[in-house]
Amino acid sequence: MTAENLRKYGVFIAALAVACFLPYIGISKFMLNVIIYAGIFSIATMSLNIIMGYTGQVSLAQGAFYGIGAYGLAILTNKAGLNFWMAMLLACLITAFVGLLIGLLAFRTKGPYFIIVTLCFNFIVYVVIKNWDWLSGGVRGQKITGPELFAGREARYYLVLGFVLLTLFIMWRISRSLEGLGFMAVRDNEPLADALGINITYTKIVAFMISCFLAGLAGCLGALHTGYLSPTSAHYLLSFNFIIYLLVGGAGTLYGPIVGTFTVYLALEFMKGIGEYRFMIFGIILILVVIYFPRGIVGGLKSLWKKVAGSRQAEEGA
Amino acid sequence: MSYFFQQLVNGIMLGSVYSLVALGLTLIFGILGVAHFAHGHFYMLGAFLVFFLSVSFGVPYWAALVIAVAVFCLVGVGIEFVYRPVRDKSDINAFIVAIGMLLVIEEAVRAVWGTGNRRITNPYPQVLKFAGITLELQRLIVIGAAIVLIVLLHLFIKRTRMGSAIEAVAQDREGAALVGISVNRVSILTFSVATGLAAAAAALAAPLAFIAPDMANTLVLKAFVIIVLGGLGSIKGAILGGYLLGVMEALAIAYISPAYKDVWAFAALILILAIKPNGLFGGRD
Amino acid sequence: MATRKVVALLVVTLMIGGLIATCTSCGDTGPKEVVIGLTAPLSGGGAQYGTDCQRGIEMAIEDINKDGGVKIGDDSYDVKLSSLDDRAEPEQGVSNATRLATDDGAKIIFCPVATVIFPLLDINEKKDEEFLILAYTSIEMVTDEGNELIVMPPPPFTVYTKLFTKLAMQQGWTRMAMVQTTGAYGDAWAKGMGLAWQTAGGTITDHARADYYTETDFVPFLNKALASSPDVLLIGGPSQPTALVVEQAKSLGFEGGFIVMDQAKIDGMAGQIGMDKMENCIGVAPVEAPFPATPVFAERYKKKYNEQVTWESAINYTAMILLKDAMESAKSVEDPMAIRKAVPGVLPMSGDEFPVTLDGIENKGLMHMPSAITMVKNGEYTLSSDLIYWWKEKD
Repeated sequence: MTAENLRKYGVFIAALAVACFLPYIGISKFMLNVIIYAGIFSIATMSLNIIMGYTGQVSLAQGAFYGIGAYGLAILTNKAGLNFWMAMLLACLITAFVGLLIGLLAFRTKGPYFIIVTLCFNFIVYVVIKNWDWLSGGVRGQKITGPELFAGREARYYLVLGFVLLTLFIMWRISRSLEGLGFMAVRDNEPLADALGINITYTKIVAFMISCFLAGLAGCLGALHTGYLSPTSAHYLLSFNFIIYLLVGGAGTLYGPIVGTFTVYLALEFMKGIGEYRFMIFGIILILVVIYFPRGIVGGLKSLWKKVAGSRQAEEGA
Repeated sequence: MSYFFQQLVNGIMLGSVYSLVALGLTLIFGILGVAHFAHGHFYMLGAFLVFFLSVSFGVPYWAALVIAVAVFCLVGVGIEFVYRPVRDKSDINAFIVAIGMLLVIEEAVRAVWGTGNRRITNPYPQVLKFAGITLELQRLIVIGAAIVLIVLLHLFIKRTRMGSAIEAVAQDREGAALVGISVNRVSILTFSVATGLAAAAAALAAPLAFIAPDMANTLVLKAFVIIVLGGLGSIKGAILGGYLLGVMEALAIAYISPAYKDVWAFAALILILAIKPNGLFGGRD
Repeated sequence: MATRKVVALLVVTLMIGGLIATCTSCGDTGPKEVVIGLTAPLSGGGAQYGTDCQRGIEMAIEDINKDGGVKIGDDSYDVKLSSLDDRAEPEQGVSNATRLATDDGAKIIFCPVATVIFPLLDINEKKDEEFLILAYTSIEMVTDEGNELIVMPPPPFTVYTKLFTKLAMQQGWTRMAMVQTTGAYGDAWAKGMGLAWQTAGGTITDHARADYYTETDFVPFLNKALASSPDVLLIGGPSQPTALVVEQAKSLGFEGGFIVMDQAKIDGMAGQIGMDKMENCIGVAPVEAPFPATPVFAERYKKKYNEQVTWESAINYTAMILLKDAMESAKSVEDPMAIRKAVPGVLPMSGDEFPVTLDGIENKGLMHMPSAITMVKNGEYTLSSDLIYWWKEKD
């Protein structure tokens, strides 16, 4: 293994090794619980990365798709009596389908318009879920019973870990596929991509549907883990959270979503002791990060590494 | 029939608030291309300032209103400086700065005034009844004052040099720069006027209901809807759109369902944008 | 730009460092401690309600600790309250309770919102994470699910529906519109009240329920309800927003009566908007009226918090004292089942000594607390001193 490869995979393999044995190294139940949520949210953040990081379309509807996935699962198991795994797959497909419909409408707009349209859509989903008692249980919410196998917290941890790795793998494949290159071409220069014969709207919609599918998956896992579902799971504040995680971690990078989610989510959880005021400081940090470190943690580390490596090479050359 | 007119008046009242908030937002968006998502939070802050002055210090209502507007004109200058580093960056940067700003404001308000709902004593709670319509005097004052403010803004823009500079930049930023208008100065002025208007709207409408740290979350979204529909940077569009949305909402509440009162605006927006991607009156990108 | 970046980075690091530092220092615990959990709305429309509950528990805990804590054998435990905000949302409540049970090790969790209590029933019997729910609600259904770890002190709301109906009908009111809060509590109440009302020959003219925990303006809902020209409105949720509903209904020209669900307290509302606006409200009697020891408690409360005492504080105070007695009797602060089983043995608690009377407890966890109702007439509370021993009338 060359030094380059060691740098590339070493951190990943070390992290994976820790992750594999995490429930058995003496962390508290509460800590495990927090890490499971962070894992679930990092799937949602990765889903946002596809549409925002790679395709350059800032969607503020990921919270809605998270909620649609979760509610889809709940309704399909509770009301339609479907098998859990079947319901989960269907819920994700439904989320992707809703994504298709919304994409067809919303991708007629661009830039700030697109942000506002997606945010409005999220708001609509939230209000509808809150008020449509018959379907969603309204503000009372509804219970979710997962398979017996995942009744324990440790089992759910490994389930989430599996899906995080799967999502990461999908992201990795996408970033190297022809489709992925198409996404990035649309992000970097839309007119040029158009001139190269890339169908812009089609590309955006494909990216959006994959993104929605994964957001729905995160919603399903979230609902399974909490065991109870209420409109909070479709709130637009979730969309804000995902964007913040992504920006802090680094949009358009492979590990950015995971790094950002774990950093921000865990930090906020541990600061619960000082009450809600932590958001105030968090807000200031956010402003500073966006102004001075627009590429996030992973992006920043990458360029730092490049600089260090570059100067070292220069030294060696001299 | 009187029920219909009652709702119409309620809608105009709602629309007055929407117009005042949307006006500020359209100026900012049109002139600087900044999606100032924290605008609603300055509205909220304005309401809390009035609460602070009138309830905690016993300042008379109208004096509190004037002080709040003056303070927030100054606050607007400060907001401009926060946005300046991201003004020419991509849309999302300004948006995230706005989210950061609103987090700070919301938590600061919670820290100072607690997490619960507060009430500003209604200065004019008298109930008027005419032609089958029942109306609190304060609601009538909101409608009247909004008209006065809109007329004043119109005069400011049409009759003063500073005002016409704002309009020029709103309509054509590069062009205005070419004829020697300082974009920075106009930018500061715009934020100042817009924030002042939001504070005025808050001071007028806040005594009618609870004030709460998250009271303006849907308001700012609706204001965005209005300015997108009305055309970015269009003052006329923001005013008309505001009143139109207010009336539409009041009627939908009365004849369809109050539970979905906040949804109609957004549903309409999505539909209209799907048909006309650049807004109802063809705003610019 | 580079120096600015460095400065910004420094500021960010300092802030994060400072935060973590403050947090590690706030985590230390004393030697012997028993943590009581509370998940309640502490922001928005329910903030006042949640805070009132919290204050009652806090006062009790202060009294207990001043008295030497919970004494078991030779050991004594200091009691500590750990509260989290759930904004009356079930999902948030579940996540709070999990946190309280796993992080703070709470074996008793207070919860004052039915919408949140229902999902808690699914998690409070989980092995190794059991906790006893102190359900401050009047929805008797929470005790009907066969859960063995629940105690519900307030009287069930069904005590009120018939009495309120009778009283309202005596005023000649027959047309009722419902503008109550959403959620499990509001839905159950509206159903029960609708049944009682229609059985007595009344009509329901409209439903326009609103989320009292998040709405800041009820005019849209009232507009719709009032269009059906009702004689009386069914309203209720936490006291603070309910008071606004009364005020706004009057400002829209409504001149009929109000049936106020038991979560909202007539005296608490009068404190918000003034007694003159409370005319024709039917609801739960003011807190100081029924029990002899309450005024003493009320005075202490006022001294401490500079506010009028509420039923929320009085009942939760008494419940906390009850649980302390139960813990001592069970000789355990760790085993919720033993604590629950010890509750009947420490009852009754008399209103001569405590802010409210808790007379007994049924097997399913429903407690027997006498209650009283009132109607505001000419600026005075009427009927409020007649205690209703509802469990004796049960068939």
